[in-house]
Amino acid sequence: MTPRSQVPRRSDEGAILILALVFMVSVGMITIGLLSVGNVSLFTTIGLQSQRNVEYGADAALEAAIQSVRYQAPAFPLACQPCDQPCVGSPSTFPPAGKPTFTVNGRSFIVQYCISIPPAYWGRQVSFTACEAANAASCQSTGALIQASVVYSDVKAGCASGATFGCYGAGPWGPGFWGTTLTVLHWNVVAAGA
Amino acid sequence: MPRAPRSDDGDTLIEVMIALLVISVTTAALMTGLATSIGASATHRNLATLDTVVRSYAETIKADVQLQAAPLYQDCAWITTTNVGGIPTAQYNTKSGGVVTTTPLTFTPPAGYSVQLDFLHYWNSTTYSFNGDSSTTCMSAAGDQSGIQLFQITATSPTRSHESLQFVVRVPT
Repeated sequence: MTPRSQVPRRSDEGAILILALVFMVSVGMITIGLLSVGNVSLFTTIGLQSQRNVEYGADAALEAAIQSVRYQAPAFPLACQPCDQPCVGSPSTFPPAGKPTFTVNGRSFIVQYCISIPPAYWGRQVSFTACEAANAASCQSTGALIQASVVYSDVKAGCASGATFGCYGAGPWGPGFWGTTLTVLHWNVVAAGA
Repeated sequence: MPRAPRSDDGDTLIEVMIALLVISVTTAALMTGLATSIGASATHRNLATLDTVVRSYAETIKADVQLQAAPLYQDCAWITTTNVGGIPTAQYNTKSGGVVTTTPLTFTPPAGYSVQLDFLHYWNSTTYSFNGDSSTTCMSAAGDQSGIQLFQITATSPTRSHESLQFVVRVPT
């Protein structure tokens, strides 16, 4: 067995170079980490701006659809039921087929809606769902951006009830009184998109 | 037993020179990285503030238009610009019965930032498009009385970066 004192000492030559390399690697990793955090934050902000444009665009399409449906006589019999629920039948679309796409903030949107008439109510309850035009197929599910429910009164101003002759809607009962007032029941931002 | 004397060998000049070079390069990279990080942070703050300014201005316009004095909301409107305290301020104009109503869209952005109202178009429910007409001829075409108006605003930061946003205001009643 070799005595401990006789073990040859390892040389210290080159140690400073190794230390410098370790220092360089450590600092490099810290720098990369810092830059990554900054970049992620920056990209997040830019992503939020894109979402803002989608949010305001969907909001614009929904507002336009609400106002467009307001004065339109419903096509009886109504196919889409029930009230205040996502459409289960074939929803109507804003803008309708053959019309220009609704484009705001450089993106195109559509709004699907279904109309129902609550019992004993002289008006319409309409469920709207706004989505990007590219996601029309999934508008009622994953593609939905905003869902809203609106009630329109179709009673002539000054009339107590639509039951009075000449106070409701149009057609044989008198001139058009569609959408004399509207009330937004709920407004639900489902997703902001990206 | 006496311990063996430690070696007196020092670092060679080459070693020291290489180590200094490596440390210099690393330090320079660190400084550059930090400077980039600081710059990115400033850009980030700038974008976030710009986003807030754009949103705030949009909501201010929505409120001003929907809450304006009678006539509450006209389907045809146009914008003009006036100076309020030396600051260019957009005005929302409507006409009803030959009477023009002007509502200043007052908004004070943070120091160094500025906002402007680019255009106001109104929805034509017959053509399903926004009319580009910004004249004072209200409801000149069939379908103009739709109750929807499209605004575009732009906010500019102190570093001259800018953001635009389009939004719609619906007749409130």
